[in-house]
Amino acid sequence: MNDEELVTLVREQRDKVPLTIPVEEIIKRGRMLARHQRNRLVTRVTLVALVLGGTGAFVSSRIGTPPSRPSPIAVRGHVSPPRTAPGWRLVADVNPAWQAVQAAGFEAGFSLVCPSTSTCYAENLPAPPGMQAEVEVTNDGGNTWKRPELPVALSSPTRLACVDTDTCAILGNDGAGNATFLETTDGGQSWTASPGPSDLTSFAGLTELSCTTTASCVALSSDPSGASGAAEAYTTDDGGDTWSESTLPPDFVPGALQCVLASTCVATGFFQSPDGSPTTPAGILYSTDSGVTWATASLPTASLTTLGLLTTRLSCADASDCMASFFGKGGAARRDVLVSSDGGESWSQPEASGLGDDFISGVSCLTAVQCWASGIALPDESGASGRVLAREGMISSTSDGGETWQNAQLPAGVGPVADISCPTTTICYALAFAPPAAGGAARPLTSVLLAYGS
Amino acid sequence: MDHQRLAFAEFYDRFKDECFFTVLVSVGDQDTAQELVAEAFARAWASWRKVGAHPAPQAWVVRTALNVGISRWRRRHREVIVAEPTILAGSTMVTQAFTGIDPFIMAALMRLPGRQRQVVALRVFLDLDTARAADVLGIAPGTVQSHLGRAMASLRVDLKELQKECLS
Repeated sequence: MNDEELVTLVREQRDKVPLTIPVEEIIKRGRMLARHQRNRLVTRVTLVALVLGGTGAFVSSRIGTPPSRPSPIAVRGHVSPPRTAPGWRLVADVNPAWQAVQAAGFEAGFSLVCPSTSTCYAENLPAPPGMQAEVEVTNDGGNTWKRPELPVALSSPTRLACVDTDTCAILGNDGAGNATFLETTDGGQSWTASPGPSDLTSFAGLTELSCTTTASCVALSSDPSGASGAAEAYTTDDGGDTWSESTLPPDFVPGALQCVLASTCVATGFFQSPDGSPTTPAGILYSTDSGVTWATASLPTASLTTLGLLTTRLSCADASDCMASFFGKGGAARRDVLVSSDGGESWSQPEASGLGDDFISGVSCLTAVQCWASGIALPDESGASGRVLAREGMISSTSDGGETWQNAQLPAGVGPVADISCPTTTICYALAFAPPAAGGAARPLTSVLLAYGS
Repeated sequence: MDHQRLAFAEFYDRFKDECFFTVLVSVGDQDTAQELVAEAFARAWASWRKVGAHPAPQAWVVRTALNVGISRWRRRHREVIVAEPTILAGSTMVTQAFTGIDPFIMAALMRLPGRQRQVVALRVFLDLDTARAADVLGIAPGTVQSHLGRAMASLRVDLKELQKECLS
């Protein structure tokens, strides 16, 4: 075979796998990109104007010395009213140990996602009844935080789903019962609202949203109509303009969701018990077609149980390697950790020695073997009333795929840790609270941002 | 449809499959390649005044797609942008990974070192000349030629070996 014949033979393959994306979709995506670029330009111009015009004390806070005057925030050419400074500050140069600065009066601090070492988003999820979603954004490693004005007061929001530092989305209820999809493509400066899935009218079972590109997102709901119907998956490939739905396996209630790359999605949750038992069989679903169809994963044991929606966490380092946590098993060990190396299809249970019996509030995996977990260090036995007074937070790391864990030394004054997000293997952020008052007396939650890194 | 949009649509229709296959061979994963090429074409449309005037817009798209892939890989530094050749060497795996493509040829392509594979993709599938391929990859034209020569020799040998393995 000479070179020419070989080239012809090889070249023939080119026409056998056509790209099937219609040009209209490309153009639509290009328009979104162009709009994104324009927004960034407008934002920069607005910020420069603010600084040059001297209309605000602009992002000048340091640790422990919040700005004396609140900073105005530009949102789509609109300057929001001054507000009090965020109650938490982060050290500028993070050290190879966890450090914290206590917060005061900061409400949006239950979930945290850091797409890069400098950009983090915090959200007040789960938003208490009657309260709307609030998002805080930092673009300078936590030194300064802004609270963008969302175009729709969103209740029952999902966790923020971030594609990169600029692009994040959230799905929730606009207050009139309409599903609403909010997206930012300029790092949280401005947000656009579009209708969510039209048949999503009940938000009680709405769980997480996960996006893999500026256009492709998947959302799950266990009870989309409020009539205890089948759980549904909703997918969009056009940035939320249109949504397709598909049915999840019967009785599955999703609690966490992550989609990686273009096609792999994993959801953890539980299967509803027919007898209404509070502890229910844990379940994991996976999809290999971008969330359109779902299959039930193979678990290492049928005895895994969980207490409900907020007791399972999930993190996938890539399209193959994921770690999931469940909480709610009776007896001495109340938490379970599972790992998968085949995109969620099958799971095994690592030893997890050193992890304790803690409630796991967040998992962040960087590679197949390197993961961080955050949570609440619980007493050995809960009280007879079932009420547990959690005083101490927990952050632990593994570098062997969950077999062994090492607890991190946390600064004094850190209570329960609500979430953790690690943009790289060397830099992590975690969201914690000050410990509860002695005796369990109620007092406002005080947020603390923790940082780890070299 | 205005003139710009028509020109872009024609360009897309003419080069989408070639760009897709070029990136597919370079990154070794169909879903990733599709996503990267779609992103690159979207960026091309967002900057069509500039890209449309480029002497080889298809080269711009491929370079952008590969750069986006590298950026994402760097950002996440946990996804493998170039599939491990050994994983794809078996014909069964190749058949599953690349539907519609001759598994022997794809396996032989995947066995090539990454740079040689990129050169083959640009020179053979995208029909770029040596200078343009060198520009896309940021290497010297002479290096492109030597990579291509080695790649063709390896392909010839590997195709024979793979066919023998299958027949046996």
